[in-house]
Amino acid sequence: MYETSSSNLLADLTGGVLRLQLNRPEKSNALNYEMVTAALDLVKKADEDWDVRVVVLEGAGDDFCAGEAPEDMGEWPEAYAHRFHQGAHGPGPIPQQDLFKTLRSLSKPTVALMKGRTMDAGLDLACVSDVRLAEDDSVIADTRVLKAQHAVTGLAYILPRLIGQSQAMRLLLTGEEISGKEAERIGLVYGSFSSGEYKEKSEEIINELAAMPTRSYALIKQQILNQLDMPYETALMHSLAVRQTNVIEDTKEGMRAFREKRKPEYKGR
Amino acid sequence: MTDLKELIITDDGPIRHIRFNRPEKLNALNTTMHEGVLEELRRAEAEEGVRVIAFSGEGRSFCAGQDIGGGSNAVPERYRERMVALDIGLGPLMIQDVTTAIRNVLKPTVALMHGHALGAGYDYATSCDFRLASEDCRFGDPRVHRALWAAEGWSYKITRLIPQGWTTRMSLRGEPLTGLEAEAAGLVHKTYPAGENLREAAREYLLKLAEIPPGSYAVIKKSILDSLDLSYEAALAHVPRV
Repeated sequence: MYETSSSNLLADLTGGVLRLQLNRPEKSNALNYEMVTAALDLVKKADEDWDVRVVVLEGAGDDFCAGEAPEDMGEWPEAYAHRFHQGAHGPGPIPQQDLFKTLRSLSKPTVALMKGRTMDAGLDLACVSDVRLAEDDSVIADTRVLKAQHAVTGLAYILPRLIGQSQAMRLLLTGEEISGKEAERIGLVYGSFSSGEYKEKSEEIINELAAMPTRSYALIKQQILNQLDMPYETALMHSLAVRQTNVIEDTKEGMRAFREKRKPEYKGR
Repeated sequence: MTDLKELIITDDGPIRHIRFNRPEKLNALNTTMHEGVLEELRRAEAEEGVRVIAFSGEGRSFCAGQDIGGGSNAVPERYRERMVALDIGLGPLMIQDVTTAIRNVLKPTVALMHGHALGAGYDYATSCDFRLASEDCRFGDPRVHRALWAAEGWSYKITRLIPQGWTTRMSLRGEPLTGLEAEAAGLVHKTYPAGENLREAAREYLLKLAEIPPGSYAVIKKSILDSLDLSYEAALAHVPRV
């Protein structure tokens, strides 16, 4: 069971798909501390749960996530009491970074459903997911530069690697709003669909991911992400180490299905 | 020169063609072919007349992957001590060695891909400087769908060849791209109509590469590869050793 500690975050695990729904539609699902810590607890649990094959992040109502507002964050979380630091621009984004970091390295496929608006910290949330899906008329931007805020939550590292430095500069330094279609063109989202097709297409992708040998998926993801920061020779050693220190039970099923010329049934182990 | 019948070596002026010749297996690579390629790379690098090294496949495909069937996969003696029981065969050790050798040749290297360019073929192609493909070529690594570890070197290379966002489909979902899709993603440099013999169709492209002054090509190639892993300040101070 995935019970949540906040009514602003709903959780449901069905058929291997854990859906985390940001549930503050009147605020376009802007993040507050309560949502961040509730999500972090669930994501940590999902990481170690064999029954979870895919984690989906979505928003209630019309938007994915409008980011966050300093005056709207609620109480600093108890669990972070020892790490509170009131800087000139407010407290540091320590709980948020913990959530983003945990999501990014999650050993499960992750999908962000970016319908409507995805802004500021909402873009962080999307960019730490593996697969981003938008509607053609979704609105995507990081406007923090225009509000004289510091975008120090991780995008300065992630975006240049994700879409190349040139487009990262455009998004992070101008605050420009782009459509889902444009996000697809620059490689920021995996797919952009018309609003008529969106639900069907995204469910199809989520279900395909859930049927994959997700342990194998996780090891490949681990190699790609960690090797972004490794020299070539080190990366080769890392790949060998990952391969030779991990057992994938599904490999046997993969071989059997291949021999028997049928579709494999993977367990994600 | 290698006497393997699985590799055909031909010269077209300054272009050295290394042609996979196991068409009945869609040119699945076995250990003897990897060994042959290593030998041919050493030879092509040493010969001054060779200005471009191009990999291609006979028959319907460039390369369908690594041959994991027994028979032709005798393990070379020097690998015996490095194998572990957990491993399915020799796989990654040798692919890593050969693809590193391809990467380190300081002459222009090109993959001419048609039909399938999958798995080990993908490892080879992503180690070359240039990728030219048939429009309908299928290019990627579907090994994840067989619950394998995959990513025995390409996990480093792919996100440096093109931004990470473009790689999701190939790397995590294990879906091959067509030649045209790979070209749109910036991973393939040029595509040719389906059915054309790429050694002929791409000849002009290869001859142009052959005209580039080899000394500066080598220095710039080495600088790029080295600088991928250096800080900006360190890259400025770096003198590539060629």
